[in-house]
Amino acid sequence: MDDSPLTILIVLGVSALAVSALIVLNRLIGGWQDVRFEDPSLPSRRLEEDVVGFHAGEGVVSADGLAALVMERGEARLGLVLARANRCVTRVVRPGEIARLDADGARFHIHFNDFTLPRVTIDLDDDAAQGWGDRMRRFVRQPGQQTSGEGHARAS
Amino acid sequence: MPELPDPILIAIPFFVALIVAEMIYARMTGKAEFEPKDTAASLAMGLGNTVSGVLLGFIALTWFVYIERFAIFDIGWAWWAFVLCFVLDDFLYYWSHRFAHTVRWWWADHVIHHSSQHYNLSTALRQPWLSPLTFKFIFFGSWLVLLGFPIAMVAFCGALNLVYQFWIHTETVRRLPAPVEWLFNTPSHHRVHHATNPLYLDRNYAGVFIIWDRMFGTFQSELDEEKCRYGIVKNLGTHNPVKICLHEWVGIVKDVASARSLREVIGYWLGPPGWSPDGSRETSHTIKRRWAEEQAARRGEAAQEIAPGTASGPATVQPAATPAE
Repeated sequence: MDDSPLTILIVLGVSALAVSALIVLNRLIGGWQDVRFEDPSLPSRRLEEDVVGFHAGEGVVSADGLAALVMERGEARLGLVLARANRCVTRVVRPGEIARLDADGARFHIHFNDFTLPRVTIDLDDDAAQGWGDRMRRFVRQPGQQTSGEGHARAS
Repeated sequence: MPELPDPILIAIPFFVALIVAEMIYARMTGKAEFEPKDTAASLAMGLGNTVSGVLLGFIALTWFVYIERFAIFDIGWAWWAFVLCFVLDDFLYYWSHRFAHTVRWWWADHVIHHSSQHYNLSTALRQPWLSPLTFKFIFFGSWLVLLGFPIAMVAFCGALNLVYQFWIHTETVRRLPAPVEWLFNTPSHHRVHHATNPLYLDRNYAGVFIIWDRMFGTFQSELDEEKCRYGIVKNLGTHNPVKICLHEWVGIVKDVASARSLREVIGYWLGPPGWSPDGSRETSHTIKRRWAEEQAARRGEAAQEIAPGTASGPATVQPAATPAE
């Protein structure tokens, strides 16, 4: 096969068009259902599936149903579950692994040392905000505390 | 020297047609799932992989041309040489793939292919961009050239191997006839490979022939009672292709920067994914062990509930499936 620069450019151009067409087709024909959390049961189950040894305790769902916080029984770790289209992304947080926590009323901005999930915003109901805000603060890194949140899954 | 076609270039139109077909079939039957952001990320990674092949392919080629002069035999272009080259290349693929899962430096490259939580034909195209820079080809690609197989033949067989692996990335095919499942890597076997269920972690490394996993103790069949959950242990919070490409490299750099000794540098760089000096992170091995312990504990609890105080109680409980170590 001819491997001149022009041919390569044509192949790449046609490939880019094909990729765009496939994405448009996917959007048009549908077939997926976005996840929304009604209550903490689904996020709790996801955490227990994703993290061996995590036993879900009390949980709370954000006002938009796109995020949930679940305490581990015994409250050693905090589970975070995010609805991303039709899948969930889970994180288990240990003390010191929240790089910064900003509160704006019942809205919380959680900052992580995580390249693919650097910041999460959660809107909680006013009733839940105080208690869960306090719980999250227990996992915020303290000045001088050494953590390395990047990398692989962490053991309990 | 015969003029060999590029199997991947020839296959691209078929890849596109099959993805369209699977998308429509998925919509009609619900047997598979495509989500546009995930599909876009996978296809962008595939396109980037093609571009990187054009830009960085010379690195491996230069190496192979250099070592060709040290070849032991001059095997030539006989038909049987193609067959032998294909089988030996698949054997080397097994080991290359196995090391890609167990050495973080190579996992940083290969993790891209596993980073989707979906499993469909677009996932097959979710490929890394920086593979030549890991120099894995030196360790696993040199053997056939040093034996005396022509470089073009090795490249041709390697490309055929990759083309074969495209169609097994699907949930629409349940199981094939037993002899096929015994000999070949199939959609069922490869679903297990992409699953994060502890039972399935780091299993079924095969490219074309699943017999390598059977021979070397890494085979695990797909179980009806253990539905595959796809992705990686710590799933990504983004669909950004650049972040998908770089995330584990960034992790390595951060970890190495925090290392306090040469041992820690080597552990973070070349140790298994999840290695940490204090064992606070989890490797696949750790996850599997903890899961096995938890299963055993549950079996014990179940046995006590079924027949408290009776000697025959535990024997009535079915043992959970365990990895084929």
